[in-house]
Amino acid sequence: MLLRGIVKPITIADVDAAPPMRQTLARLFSYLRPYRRRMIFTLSIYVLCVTISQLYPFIDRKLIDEHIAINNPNGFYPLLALATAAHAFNWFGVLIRSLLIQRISLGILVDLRRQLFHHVVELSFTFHEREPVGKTMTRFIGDANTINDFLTNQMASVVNDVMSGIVVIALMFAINPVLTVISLFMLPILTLLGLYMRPRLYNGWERVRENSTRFNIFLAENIAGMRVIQAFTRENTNLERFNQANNRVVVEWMKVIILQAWFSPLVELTRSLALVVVLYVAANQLGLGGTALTVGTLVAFMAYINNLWSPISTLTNMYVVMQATLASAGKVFQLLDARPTVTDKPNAITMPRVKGEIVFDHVDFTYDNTRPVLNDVNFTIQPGQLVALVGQTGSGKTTIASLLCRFYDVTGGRILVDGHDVRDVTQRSLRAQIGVVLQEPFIFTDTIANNIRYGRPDASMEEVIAAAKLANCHDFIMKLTDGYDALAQERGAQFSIGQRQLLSIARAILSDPRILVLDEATSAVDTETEVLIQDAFASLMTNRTAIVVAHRLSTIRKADQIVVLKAGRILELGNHATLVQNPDGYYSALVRAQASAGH
Amino acid sequence: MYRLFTFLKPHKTLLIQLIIVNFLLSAMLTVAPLVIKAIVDNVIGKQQFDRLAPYLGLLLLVTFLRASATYFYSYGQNKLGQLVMTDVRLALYRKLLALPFSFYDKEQTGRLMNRVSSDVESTRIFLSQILIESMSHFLTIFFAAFAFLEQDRYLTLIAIVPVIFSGVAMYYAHHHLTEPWTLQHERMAQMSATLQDNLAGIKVVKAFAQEDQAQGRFQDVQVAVRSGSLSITDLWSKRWALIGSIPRFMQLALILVGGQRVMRGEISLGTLVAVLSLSLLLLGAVNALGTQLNSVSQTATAAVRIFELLDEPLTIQSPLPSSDPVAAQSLPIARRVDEWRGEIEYKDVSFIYPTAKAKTLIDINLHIPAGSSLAVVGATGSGKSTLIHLIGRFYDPTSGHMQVDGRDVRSLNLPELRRQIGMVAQDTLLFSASIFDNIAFGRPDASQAEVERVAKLAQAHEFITQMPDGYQTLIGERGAGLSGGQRQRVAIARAMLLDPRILILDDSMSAVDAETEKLLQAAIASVMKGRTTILVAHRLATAQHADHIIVLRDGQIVEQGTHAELDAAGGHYHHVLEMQQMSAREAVASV
Repeated sequence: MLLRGIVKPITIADVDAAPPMRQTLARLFSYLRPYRRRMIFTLSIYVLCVTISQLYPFIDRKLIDEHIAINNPNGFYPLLALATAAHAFNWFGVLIRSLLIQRISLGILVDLRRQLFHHVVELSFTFHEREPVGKTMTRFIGDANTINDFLTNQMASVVNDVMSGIVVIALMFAINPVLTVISLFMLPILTLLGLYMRPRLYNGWERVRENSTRFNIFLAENIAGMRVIQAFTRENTNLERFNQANNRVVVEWMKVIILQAWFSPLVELTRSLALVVVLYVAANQLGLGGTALTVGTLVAFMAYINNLWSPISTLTNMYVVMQATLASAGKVFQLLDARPTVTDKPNAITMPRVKGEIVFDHVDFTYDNTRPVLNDVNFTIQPGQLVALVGQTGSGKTTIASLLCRFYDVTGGRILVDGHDVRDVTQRSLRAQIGVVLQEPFIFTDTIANNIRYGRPDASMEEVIAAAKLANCHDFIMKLTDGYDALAQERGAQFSIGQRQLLSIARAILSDPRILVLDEATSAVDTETEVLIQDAFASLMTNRTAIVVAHRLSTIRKADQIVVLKAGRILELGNHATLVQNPDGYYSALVRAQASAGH
Repeated sequence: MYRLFTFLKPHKTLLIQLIIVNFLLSAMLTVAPLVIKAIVDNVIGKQQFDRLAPYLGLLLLVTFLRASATYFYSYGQNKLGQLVMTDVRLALYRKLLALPFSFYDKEQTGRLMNRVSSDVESTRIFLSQILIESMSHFLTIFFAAFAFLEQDRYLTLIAIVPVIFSGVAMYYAHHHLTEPWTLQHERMAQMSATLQDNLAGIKVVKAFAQEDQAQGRFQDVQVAVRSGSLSITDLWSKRWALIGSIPRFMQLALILVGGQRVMRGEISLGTLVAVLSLSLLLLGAVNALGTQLNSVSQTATAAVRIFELLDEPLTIQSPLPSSDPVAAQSLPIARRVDEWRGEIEYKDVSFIYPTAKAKTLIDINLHIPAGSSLAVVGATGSGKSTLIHLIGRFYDPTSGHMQVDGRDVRSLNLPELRRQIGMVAQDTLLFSASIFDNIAFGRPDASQAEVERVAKLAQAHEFITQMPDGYQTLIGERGAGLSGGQRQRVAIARAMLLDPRILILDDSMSAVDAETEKLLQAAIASVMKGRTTILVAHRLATAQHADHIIVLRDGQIVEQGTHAELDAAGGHYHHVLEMQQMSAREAVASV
């Protein structure tokens, strides 16, 4: 029954069909490679230290039996001096080994995190839209720690424990082979007990952890959404939910505790039992042929049985540690193996200074290979033109803007900027010349000034202020107590959406782009401010190309070219004057709708 | 700190039981060395091995008793911990539910989370573990020291120095790390924040081709974490190597002196053996106490933070009959829903945010008759959102009076007042739950038919049914998975389901296209017939049908009237209207 139980409760590993264990382990250990020599050196110190310290009971036995008990001071002091010297040496060894292992450990952690970050920022929009931020964060914090702990501390403790076990058993044999064999009789029971219990305890704590995480997510969302909760007077309902979530944690916790509460006393009992049996056998000289129980042997065996028990406990736990590490490693490697869907060609060139001619040449696009988002889109923008994209929600306006920046790759056709296919130039050199204001403004938790100079970190304060004035955010920034040095809260929570949009516009202006893309950049800004910004843009955009996604007619009608989209196809193309010629057209209908709304 | 103990009060019985069990555990701990001593002296010393059995029996019995007591102790201790933790968490959560918006304006989610998780955790460990265990360590020290003295005074003197030294060293080792650890926690929080920021804003990072800079910043913070961690572990390694080496040095000293005394016949060999294990017991207890003394100061800081939050003044709450002067005049009487009319009046209302330099609202006087509609227009930052948040008492005016149905809102029962108000905020925050649950947020018992009805009114039914799981589609954190316009429509449906007397829409159709907005407005108008509606808008086309329109500028009402009146007045409203219509008119003219 015990044996069946050993295999059953492990459920951690089979969640994801992971690659073979050997392969994952090999990859895991590759992180140790740069530290190979240091690690071997450190582990040798572990071996040395554990050997020395396990000699202590052996020496004590000699001191007691051969000197103190028979009143023989000859050699007592030299042996004691030797023992003291050995301990002093050991002290030094323990210090060195912990200094060394920490350095290796932190080195690996930094390597792994740097690799992860480098990889994650290179991943394309497709990945980031799919994966929640919290999940990716876990790879950096929890999983990276687990892997690192396994490679250093766990490795060291295995070496330490195995070595300790070998030395202890050897020394016990040297004292008395028969007693050694007898004292080991409890070990199989202890091992089985450990193998049976450890996975159960581990799984139990995992469930506690899962429930705590769920509780914390619940809480975080409640705190973030407290305004809505209060506005909808949901306090009582949420209090109930809170109690439920909390109770689940408590119930799981107590389940593990019941297991754990009898596990450790039981281990203690097996140890006492082993000692008692050894003493009994020794005292009654059962098959010992004369060697009686001496005080030194009693003292030594008490110590050794003790020293044998703790490594067994840690070693039986290793199986669980391995499972947990493999699970973490699997997830980290999965992330590291995720390939960016948009990549630079090996022979990609740096985009020369952009003049601003843009050609969409029979462009098709789909996000999921089933629903086409763009269908055979064709248009050409001359350098310096202002182009408006018009159409209902979901017609593909934002997609066109995203494709130009090469956040995604077209699934058919091609996009040319100054005659270069955007796939033939490096992403960074292309994007560095395009200023984008995304539909949802994002503000970093940094100072206002740094948020504005985000695209050009070396911009001077004067330039920052000039950009802020153009984007009409200078006034409200100056109303803050710390002005430009005020820290933005998480996602710029203290600003209204309109203000966040204005800050994003200032950011785009300062980056001094050759092509400007505004994706409903002023949807939450009042009309007056919007007009002021448009005037600012008008002077700014001379000789630069601009693509604007907009609902408001005031913006649209100034465009050199208007692209009317419907369900991913170009419905109408032209400027205001030509498009209104067609009274049955979508654009004319739009103009009429907005004009009549004003009266 | 003493206030912390009030959390233990409800669980007094359990606490006392645990203390008794602990007392027994410590007492039994000192028994084993004495049994060993008896074995050495009476059995081995006298070579009478047939007398061993009773001693072994005693040894087994003590182990067994200790094991059972340990079982009860660890179970009870954990139970106490969970009970206390639940109480503290609940107290904090209740407080969080009651705190006003102004509190959330200044606090960040992460910091609050820390209080409710890690500060509560250290309180739990302190109250359920450290408190009882330090008591038991004291007892162990007492028993062991007593037994020690009984055995031999000289040896006691030898052991006392390393024991005290070790305990003090342990205390300071932890003590000196408190500050570095606090700093390190900050560095780690900084690393997480940087990571979070860059991942959440990855689109901006990539759009501005700032991958290298982002990476540089992350590398900086994580290298800071590494060096902080290294200085802590180095400090700790040195202390620990020292403290860890003391027991063996002490044992060697005891063997030296004790051995001499045994050989001189002054003490028995059994005494030396007993002293050797008693000294380890003593050392262990003293070290543990040294460690735990430190967590007392750490718990104290956690407790301070917890009580700080619990003591945060509830500036906005239902009137208490006894204390509130306004309430004393007119006790809040529960009203039936149909007794609410929805009349709103601002009387000389001014408001200033604590962090702002200037007033956001200045002397607002405004009467909104029950059942009418009001449109609020004005530039970004002119005070529109603040104005509407005063109605549901999300903030209280700094001066002046806010009245609903002719009574000061401060005299009204708060939950009841808020239940009359359907609010669609500018920042449409949805929860990670199904669309159904999000719409039914204010009325979790609503039926499918009711939810569908409001979704249809909010022009959301169509896109919801097109989703793979319809109303049961799960949406992500902050409404991820829905477009801005879709989120706004779900939020409008959520407010409509309340069937509110007063509906407030704070620029909540900005991401909805013009056609849909028209349908939406018509739906709202029909539903809100005879009820009060307030809408904040940038598009005057949205505002023009309102019974009354006010124009805010820098916190003051600069113009008000109907659309026709304002248009005719030729002021700010007219000017903006011109701007918005000019292009449209010209456009039409050219058709």
